[in-house]
Amino acid sequence: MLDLLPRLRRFATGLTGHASDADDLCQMTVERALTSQDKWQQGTRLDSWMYRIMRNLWIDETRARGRRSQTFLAEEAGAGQGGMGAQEAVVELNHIDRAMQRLPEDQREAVLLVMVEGYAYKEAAEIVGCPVGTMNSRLVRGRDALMELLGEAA
Amino acid sequence: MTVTREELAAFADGELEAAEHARVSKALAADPDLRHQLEVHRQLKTVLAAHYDPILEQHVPETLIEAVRRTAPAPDETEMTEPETAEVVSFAEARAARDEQIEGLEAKRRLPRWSYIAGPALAASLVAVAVFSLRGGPESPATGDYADAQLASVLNDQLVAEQGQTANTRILLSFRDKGDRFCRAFSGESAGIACRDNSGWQLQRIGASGEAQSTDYRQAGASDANLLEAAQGMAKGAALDAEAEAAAKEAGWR
Repeated sequence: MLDLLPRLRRFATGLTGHASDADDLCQMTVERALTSQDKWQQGTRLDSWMYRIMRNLWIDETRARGRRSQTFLAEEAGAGQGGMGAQEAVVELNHIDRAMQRLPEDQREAVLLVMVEGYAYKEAAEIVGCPVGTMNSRLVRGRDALMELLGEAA
Repeated sequence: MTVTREELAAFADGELEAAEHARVSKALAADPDLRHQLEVHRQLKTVLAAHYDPILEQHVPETLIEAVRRTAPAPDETEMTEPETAEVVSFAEARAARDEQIEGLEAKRRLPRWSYIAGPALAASLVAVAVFSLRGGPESPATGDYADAQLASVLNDQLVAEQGQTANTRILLSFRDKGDRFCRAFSGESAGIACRDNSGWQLQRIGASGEAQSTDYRQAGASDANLLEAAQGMAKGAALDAEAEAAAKEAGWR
């Protein structure tokens, strides 16, 4: 599991768009995985299983944040934080992060799992729990939306 | 013969069965638009990799490693928590744990990711993926040489924000190096990084070009990514944004 941490952090950063949220999400994922380890089936991929835990936790978190209407508060706080130089703020929230955050959750995870994490459509679909064809079309819609957002920023 | 966007993406991601793959290959050979779309898909993949992959190299916070180690041995029966009720973990708690590591976090924040330098320029290059054809180039220049008149004029005049899709040489980004010179990474007919000094644009790095573009849709990703990585290593700060680039051009890159 230790070996998976860098990849989990990459996926978490993509999902959350923030280094700090990403590490919180990783922490939760690791702890959840360890308390649920009896649910992991020997012989199946540990990485896929942990990715699934992570995306489920993140969906719970975003729903909770939505209920508290705080979805964008963290982002504003991050961008305007004192003490951090302007350049560091850029690192925290550059335009790719921002564009990714504007994608619907299902498209963002499709783009991340396939284009960043390199999962086959079938594996990505299993992580998310959707049919392969759905994964394919979410990926295309997410990709096109991302292109458009990045194009706007140019 | 039509190829849907889904099929094209699946083709790019190596997801098609042999028969379908052959059908899409055939369609690609006949349709430049389709080739362009394919290239855009691949380019986006490169950009995303450039953005996210550096995280793999970052130092993993101790709290995370600790979390894995702490519970890794099989827990004893009495302490076994039912997964369904294992709500012990929350963002607040995770954050509290992290705050103990705040110094590590601050250090991590200062680690620039690639897109930090490439950001302003990459967005432009994404929408302007140019299709190049093979040209018989003149004899190859060497590192340390100065850009010839044609390249120098591109370096002097072409702005990332304004370059056309069909530009033979595309500027990837501009930045200041540690010696405070203006430098520009470029790709296309020739590729590399050049910095402006008293004598002109001195080539700091020569990238793959020409022969790398023997097909009519080029595999831009890898070589551009190498140049961007090199640029990141040379740069003093972030890449110039459109405004700063225009100002630098106005001032003659000095």
